[in-house]
This record gives sequence, structure tokens and C-alpha cells, in this order.
Amino acid sequence: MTHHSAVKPLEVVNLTKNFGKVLAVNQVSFSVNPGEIFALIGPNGAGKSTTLRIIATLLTPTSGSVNVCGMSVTEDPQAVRQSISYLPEEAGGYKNLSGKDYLHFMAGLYSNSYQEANTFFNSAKEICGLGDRLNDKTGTYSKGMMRKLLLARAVMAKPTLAILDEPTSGLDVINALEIRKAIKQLSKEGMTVLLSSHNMLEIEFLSDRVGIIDRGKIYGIGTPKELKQQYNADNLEEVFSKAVSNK
Amino acid sequence: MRKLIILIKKELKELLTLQMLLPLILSVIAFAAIGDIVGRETKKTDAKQVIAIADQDQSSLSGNIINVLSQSGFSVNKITESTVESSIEQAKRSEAVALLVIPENFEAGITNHQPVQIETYSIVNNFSISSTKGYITLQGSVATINEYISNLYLAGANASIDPSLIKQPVTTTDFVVIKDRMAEANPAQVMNFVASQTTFIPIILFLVIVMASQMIAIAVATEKENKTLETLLSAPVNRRTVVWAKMIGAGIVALLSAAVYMIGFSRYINGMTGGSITSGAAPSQEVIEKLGISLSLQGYVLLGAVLFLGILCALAISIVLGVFAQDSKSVPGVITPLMVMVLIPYILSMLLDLTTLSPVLKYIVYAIPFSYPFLAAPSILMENYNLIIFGAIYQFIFFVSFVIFAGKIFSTDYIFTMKLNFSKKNT
Ligand SMILES: Nc1ncnc2c1ncn2[C@@H]1O[C@H](COP(=O)(O)OP(=O)(O)O)[C@@H](O)[C@H]1O
Ligand SMILES: [Mg+2]
Repeated sequence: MTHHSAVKPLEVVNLTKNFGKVLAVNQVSFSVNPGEIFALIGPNGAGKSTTLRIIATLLTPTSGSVNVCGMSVTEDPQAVRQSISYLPEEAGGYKNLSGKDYLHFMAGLYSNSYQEANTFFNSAKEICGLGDRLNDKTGTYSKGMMRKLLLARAVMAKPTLAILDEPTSGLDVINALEIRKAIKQLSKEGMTVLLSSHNMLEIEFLSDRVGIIDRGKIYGIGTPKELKQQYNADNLEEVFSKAVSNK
Repeated sequence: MRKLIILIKKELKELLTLQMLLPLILSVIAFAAIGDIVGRETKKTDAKQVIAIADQDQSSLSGNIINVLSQSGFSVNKITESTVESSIEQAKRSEAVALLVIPENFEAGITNHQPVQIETYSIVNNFSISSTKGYITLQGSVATINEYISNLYLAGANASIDPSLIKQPVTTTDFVVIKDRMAEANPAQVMNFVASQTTFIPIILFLVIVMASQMIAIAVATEKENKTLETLLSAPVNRRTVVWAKMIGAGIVALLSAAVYMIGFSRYINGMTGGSITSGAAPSQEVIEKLGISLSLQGYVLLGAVLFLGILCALAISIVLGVFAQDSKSVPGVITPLMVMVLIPYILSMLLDLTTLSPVLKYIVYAIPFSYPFLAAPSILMENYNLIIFGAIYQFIFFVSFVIFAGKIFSTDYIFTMKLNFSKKNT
């Protein structure tokens, strides 16, 4: 490799976060390579959202470091925000705005000019696939439509790193499949994706590498294939239960 | 700047919805309509308040009394029935507000210089202002009768002096002095006029502050609830810009509704004073100018500035309080401290002169940024500009500090961790 100095889209080192007495994230380290889909998998309360929110510059770490494209989330959050986009877990929209208004609004925030905003908007319009329903207020959208709108919003500005917290949770099979397909497609186009899920089976199909997390600690990192071999398991769910009970 | 405008546009789109505008407009229309109706109705009751008189004496004196009443502007209905019961029935049918029964031997009693009695029956159909006015009309008619008879006595006793001179040897010419200005005027009229000009300001301020602070706190709480705030704060936008956009958006809406309320209320006041509920007419234009009791343009500008700054202070406090709300439903509880802060000067200003309070109370009042709108109108009329200009500067500093404080909160973990801590306790 000639690009020894190439900076990783994401580098997390010994990340720890306390909420008072609750140790939500405990000495977590992992990194994500360019163009990769990396998934944090673990049960509810494992510390996935907290990790993602720290990377998204919303929470400050208690200790450890997080660098996005070489920039520290604590020292230069404003620069980090230029390179990321974040889809919160269970997110909603502005009920009185139409889907179109919402995309225009967010495109305006992520862009630096009117033309750029228009480009973002058009790309989001295509990705969400909502067609004429974009003219309706988002208050009238189903959960699946809302998620598509928000995913399209999250990726329209072609961020270097897209952070998606449980992008498919709560969706029916068909909507979940469509969302996974869209994420896969975006990754093919070069976007780096960090996502989280408590559904370990769907992750096998979706991600290049996974990190297994429970009670704030990472128990294993690798491709689904590597992990299954390592733990002699048929699927990631089995990997998880073996990994967590081993330690 | 471009992003600020984008954010303000979004705030306005979210805030200016039919659900928000409809109640505002309806309540203003209702107020204006009430003013109009009350004004019209009171004029109507003025015109046709009938006094029924049952003359059981059938003397020349009782006949004269009825004539005098008619000449003095009372609309008199002579009862033809003989018993009291049937007289009352007839009075009711003629929609009289009261019945006077002049008893038999009335004239004889007067001639013998005996005290005489008239029975009065007030016919109350409801307990509104028009019934109260019925009693006033009745009293007026009795006073007219007394006046007439005492004049008769006086004329008999000392024919050389005008009876009215005996009863009121001293009359007054009234002057009102305000600071170094003076005019010949009725002080009660002047006080009424000043009150009618300025009483609606505290009410409007109170309504707008309640509405606007709920609105912005709900906006913040809803953004937290829907996680749109997380999206916003992870986007490449300065967080202070996010706070300012919320402030400006809500400020515009508050200003708009204040204007709408103003229009509604002035219609209301006009309607009310168009009828003669407030006692007596307004002072003449000449008196108003001489005394300087109407606000000048500068006065209005200063008053408007203090009002608007008061609203902005409420918005800035509410944006911070909104952070403490776990969802939009808990907003009313969370903004209670603000409501108390507005109520203190509101209630005190209704009961007392805020500028003459004891020192401790006075400085508490001066420390509350919402006191100045209540202080403004009377102070400006009294040419006490310094207090209000100081107030405006204080409000401005208060406002900016709170927005900076809000910006700080929006830049920390705190804005996201608050909610969880609350819901932990509740679940
Ligand atoms: N703001 C907060 N205040 C206190 N505790 C929190 C807060 N956010 C998360 N936690 C706690 O941290 C732990 C990890 O939560 P989270 O990161 O949301 O897990 P996950 O997303 O994997 O379900 C949980 O025990 C949760 O209760
Ligand atoms: Mg989570």
C-alpha cells in the first residue's frame, strides 16, 4: 500500500462515557475504513446510541478519543460536523412541514450555496422514493415513509461518514429491506457507514464488519465470516451469546 | 446569515399554523364583537329606561311631579291599574325598570310639612349592567322629586332667595394639575381617560407572554421529543444560530399576535366607552393636550420598545425552560416560574403604585424585566422617562445574557441528558 498516511473516516480509541454512576460506554476502541459499512451490534442498553451520539458531536466523552477523518470531535466539533451526518434512533420530523419543505430546509443547512442545496434536494428526492407524497405534511407519514425521508436527508449531502442509529428498527420486513438496499447502494457509491442494530441477523447481510457490544464493552470485531469461524457459530446471534458468556 | 434565514423560515413555517392562528384571530374577533355589542346595548338601555308611576293620590301635586319628571328627561309611564299587584304587572308589561307608587294623602302630607313615603319597586330581569342602570335611573327620579318639593318649601319660606342658591351656596371650578401642566377639568374624567388609554396594555402583555413563552418552550420540547434537535445540532450550523433563529421566529410571531390583540382591544375599549358605562364623557381635546395625558409618538415608541423587550425576555427565559421539559406536555409546568415572574408586577401594578413601594419590594420589582411594561405608561405620562429608559436598557441586557446562556446550554451535553434524567425518575 502506498497510502500509509491515509486517514480513516473514523477512529475510536478507549472511549468511555459515564452518566453519573451509569457507565454507558467502557474503553471502546474500533475504526472504520473508507467505503465500509461497520455495524455496532448488541442488545438494548449496550451503549450503541451513546457511542454514536459522541461520534455525532452531541455528547462529550468522559475519556478516550474519537477522530473523524483525523479531526477530533472534542477539539474541532464544527469541522467534524462538515464531514458527518447523523440519523438519530426513532427520529421524527417537523409535523407542520411537508416532506419537500423538510428536505429543502435540511439541504439548505448542509449546503453552502443555493445551487448546492438544490443538488442535495434532488438527490434526496430520488433516494427517498416518496414521489408525490413529498408534498404532504410529514405528520401524515407512516413510520416507513418517515424513515425513508430521514435516511434520504441523512445521505443527500454525501457525507464522508454517515452515522445511522438503528436505521431499520420498528419497520416492517419490506420497508426494512428497502432501507438496507439503499444503504448498501450508498456504500457502493463510496460512502462510509457506521450503523447500529439490535437485530443481529439482518446485519450479516448488510455490513462488511461488525463490533459486538454489550454493557458498554466491545467483545469482538471482524467480518461476520471471521467471527462465525472464530466462535464456531452458525450466525451472529450465536456469536454474540458465545462472545458475551466467554468473558 | 444564509443559514440563519433558512432556520428562521423553518421556525415560522412550524409556528404559523392554522391551529395557532385560528384561536388568536377568533379571540380577537370575539373581543371586538363584545365591545361593539356592549356599546350598542348600553346606548339602547340609556334611551329607553322607563319609570312607571302609579298615582294613588290623584292630586295636583302628584300630577305636577309626573310632569316635572317628564320634563327632566325621564320617560314616564302612567299606570292605570289601582292595586299595587296589578300596577306591577302593568309596569312589567311596559318594560319599566321601576315602579313608583305615590300613596294616597301624599299632597296632604306635604302641605302639612309631614315626611311622606313613596314605595319603589325595582323590576330586575337580569343581573347585568343594564339592571344596575335601572336602579340609577330610579334614584335619579326620586332625587328629582325631592328637589322639586324642597324647592317648593324653600320658595314658601323665603321667597326672596333663589332656592338653588340656598341649597348650594358654594360651587366649584375644577382644575387638574399634573407636574407643571394645568387645565380646567373634572379630575374623575381625567383619571378615567388615562385608565382607559393604558389599562389594556398589561392585559395584552400578559396574554402575549403566556402564549409566546408556551409556544417557544413547546417548540424546544418538541424538537427534543422528535429528535429533530439532534439532527440540527449535528449539522454544520453554529448552535448560537439555532438559538437565535428560534428567538427571532418566536419574536416575529409574538409581535404579530401583539399587534392583532392591540387592534382587537382598541375596538373593545372603543365599543365600551362608546356606550356610557364609564361615568361621564371624556375630557375635551383641549384639556387632553394641556395636561399631556395622551401618549406622544415618542411615548408610544418607548412604551412599544419596553413591551417588546419584555416579550423577548420571556422568550429567552422560555427557551431555557423548554430544555427542562421532557416533552411538550410538561411545558406548562416547566414555565410556571416565568408566569409567577409576570404575575408579580401585574398584580402589584393593579393594586399599588409600583414606584412608591418599600425599597426591598421596589428593587425586586425593578429586577423583574416584565415590570417595566406595567410601569411604562404611567411613568411616561408623568414624564418620568429615566426609569423607563433604564428599564429598556436593563431588559436588553437581561435578554442578551439569557440568549447567550441558552446558546451555552445548547452547546453542552446538558440539553440531551436533561430529558433522560427526568424520564428515569418518572418511569
Ligand atoms: N442521558 C443519559 N443519562 C443517563 N443514562 C443514560 C443516558 N443515555 C443513556 N444512558 C444509559 O446508558 C446505557 C446505554 O444506553 P444506550 O447507549 O442508549 O444503549 P443502546 O443504544 O445500545 O440501546 C443505558 O444503561 C442507558 O440507560
Ligand atoms: Mg440505542
